[in-house]
Amino acid sequence: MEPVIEMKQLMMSYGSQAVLRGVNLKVYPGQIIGYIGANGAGKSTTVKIVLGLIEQYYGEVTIFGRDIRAGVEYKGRIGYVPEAGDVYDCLSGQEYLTFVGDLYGVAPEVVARRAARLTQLLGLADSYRARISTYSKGMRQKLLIIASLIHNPDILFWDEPISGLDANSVMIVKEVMAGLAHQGKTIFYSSHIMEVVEKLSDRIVLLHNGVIAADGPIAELRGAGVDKSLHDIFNKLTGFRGHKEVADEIISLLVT
Amino acid sequence: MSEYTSLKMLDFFAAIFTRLGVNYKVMRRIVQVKLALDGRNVNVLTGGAPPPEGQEHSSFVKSMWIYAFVGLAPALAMLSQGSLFAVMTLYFGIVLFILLTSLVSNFSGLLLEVRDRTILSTKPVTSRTISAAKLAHIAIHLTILCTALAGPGLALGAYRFGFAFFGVMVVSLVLLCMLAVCVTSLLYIAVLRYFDGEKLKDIIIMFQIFLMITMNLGFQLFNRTIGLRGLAIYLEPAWWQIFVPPAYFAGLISFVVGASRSRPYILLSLLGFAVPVLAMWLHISVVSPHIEKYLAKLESSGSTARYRETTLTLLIQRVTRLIAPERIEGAFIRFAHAMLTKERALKLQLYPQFAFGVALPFIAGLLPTLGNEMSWGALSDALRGGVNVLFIYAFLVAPVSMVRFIDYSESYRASWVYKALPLKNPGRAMRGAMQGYLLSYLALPVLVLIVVTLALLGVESGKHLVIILTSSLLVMLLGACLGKKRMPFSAALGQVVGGDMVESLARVIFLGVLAFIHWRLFSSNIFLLGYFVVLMLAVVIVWRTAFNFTWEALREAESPPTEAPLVSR
Repeated sequence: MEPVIEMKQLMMSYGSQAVLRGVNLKVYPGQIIGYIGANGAGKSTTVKIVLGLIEQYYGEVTIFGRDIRAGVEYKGRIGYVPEAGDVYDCLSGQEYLTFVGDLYGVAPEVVARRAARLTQLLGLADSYRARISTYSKGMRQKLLIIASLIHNPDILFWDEPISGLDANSVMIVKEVMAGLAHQGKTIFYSSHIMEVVEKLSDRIVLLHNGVIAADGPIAELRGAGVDKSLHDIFNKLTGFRGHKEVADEIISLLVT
Repeated sequence: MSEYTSLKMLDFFAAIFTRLGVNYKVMRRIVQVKLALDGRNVNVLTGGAPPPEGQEHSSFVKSMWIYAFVGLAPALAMLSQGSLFAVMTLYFGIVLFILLTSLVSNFSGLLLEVRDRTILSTKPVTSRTISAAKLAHIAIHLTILCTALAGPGLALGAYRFGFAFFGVMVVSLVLLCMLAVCVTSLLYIAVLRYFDGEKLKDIIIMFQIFLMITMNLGFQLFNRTIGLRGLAIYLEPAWWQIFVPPAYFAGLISFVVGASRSRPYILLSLLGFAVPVLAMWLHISVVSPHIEKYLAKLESSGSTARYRETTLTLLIQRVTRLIAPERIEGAFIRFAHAMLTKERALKLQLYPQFAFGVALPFIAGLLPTLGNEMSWGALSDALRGGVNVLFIYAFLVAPVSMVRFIDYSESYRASWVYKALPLKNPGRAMRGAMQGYLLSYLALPVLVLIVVTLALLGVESGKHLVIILTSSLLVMLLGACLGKKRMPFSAALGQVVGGDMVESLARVIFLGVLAFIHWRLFSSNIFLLGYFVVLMLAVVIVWRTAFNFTWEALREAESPPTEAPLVSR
């Protein structure tokens, strides 16, 4: 099977600080990839490179077998939820979704129908015509998720998709992810909530020191130690020990 | 954080605050932080970016110079020959007007501060201390503003009427400020009572736009006000003046300084004390207890804040769906229209400059030529014939040079979305956004311009009008593609870069050159026709070819600061 996403020797640095030092990854249709790593490990950077938001990288990224530098058409098959939810927030939810749908090339009637129904399903119906600036954090996140789905894309890049969402909405989103993957769509998402990543992903990719430190289904990552949680694996692979000591020092600092 | 002089002044009242049950030390600290924040905020009047550290006070001080200058105009009325009562009513009227508008616009942030609720109210600070800090903060600002605004009046008045005047005037100003604060907060509460926070924000923006237009025009009318010196104005006390607060204080001043001791003056003077005190009492006992409840409404504007699309918006949506040659372009027309008519910060910059730019030619050019005859016929006769029609170029300078505003937005960080979308030709996006600007800002004024011109100057002016409008369009198009290439709404509002000024100037000069050519060809119909054909061809060619470029071309033109938000992790 042909990979839908392929990264070869992906390298990127901000000034003198190298963030990605050669990421190699092949992703196949129908996979749900949980992309994890410590704060500042370069998860969002990877996603931004694939989306074309960052252009000063080294290496090669191909989507559906074509180099992403070859043209922007591939973006029409991608849905993206960014990490920071910046939107033109003087617009109403309806206006934003219609704008995005128009640019994805979806027929106006289809955009209108999908946007209205999706907002309704995610409980945004009352705010559909209100300024986005009046939305809560969770509502914004829902809007961004809807905007990433409106053109029925084949690949989803979701950067922290469930941050700010309530428990019920998280259940819906998880169910949607599973359902879409079942249809053969590829989902590439990042999260800091290890329990969610553990349960949801077919495959977990851990980024550390600018390279992929671990890659595989959770069972494989556990290896021999079956009882180990993803938390433990994360701590071990990122070389972090002594959370207890740090916590103790924080507490003792407050008392003195 | 610096030690502000105003804080040291505040220390004089420390004992009073403590007596009232306020924790003065905490209050002082809160006020200090608020003052520091003010210094870093963008001032509405002077605009521009937040000042760099170290010169934080500069923008505030700068705006105070503006207020002082504005205050000079009504102060000159004091030198006029009219009755003291009339002059002072006029004076206080103007001062109250400026005070009220600036309270609603610039001070709304202070009065309606809700952010500090989450910060301050969660700490062990009594609400009494918090409200005292808020009050002190407003009082400091109001004192500075009033000093600047009334300074010229105080000086000139003291010079002409003596020292007693100075004393009564200071008392009057304090009372006037009290009244203004109460009226403003009553207005806010009334709006919040019946509408939600979003509506209030819209109303505040309207006031801000209104204030800036009046202030700007105030400068221009300055010369004319000086004319008042020769003019004597007279006003006698009358019953209706009990509804005109400026008359109270004028009455008070006449009573003390002008020795007008008759009953109407006494009544007005008493009202001058009673009304502000009553308003303050009303404010403290009736409004204040509910203020928190209404302010909470500001934070959660809730789901009721819906938009009803205006007929114009719907029309634009229909028309663009029908005629826009490309989907992308149509989408950007609608998008730009929505942004330009809804983003408050953008409107706050656009509207006043636009109005000012269109009004200036009137004041500077047309009014002086009119003389005293203000009838339509006289106007038409005076302007008809000759090259007067070329004056229309002056009206188009502002709209043409202001196209650049479509590059800016408060939420410029949201421009990541362009890159995440399959957008092949960014040029189409720009062309679309520019049409959005034309539709939402120029369509109506140009229509009015056409009708008025044809009515005033006759149908034969039509041919010139066509050339003028075509030239303006050409300048706009050329400016967009020769100038700095930027995606619409992708640069931070408020930091208009120096390069943009040069560009705007280049546009104005280019428009001037076209106007010059037009003038040289003015009387020959054949040459005019030829010129029009050339202009039209240029427009079509630029329209077709100039808005085709790749992301690479855009990236080369992009400056690092605008790119930064996209790269940040």
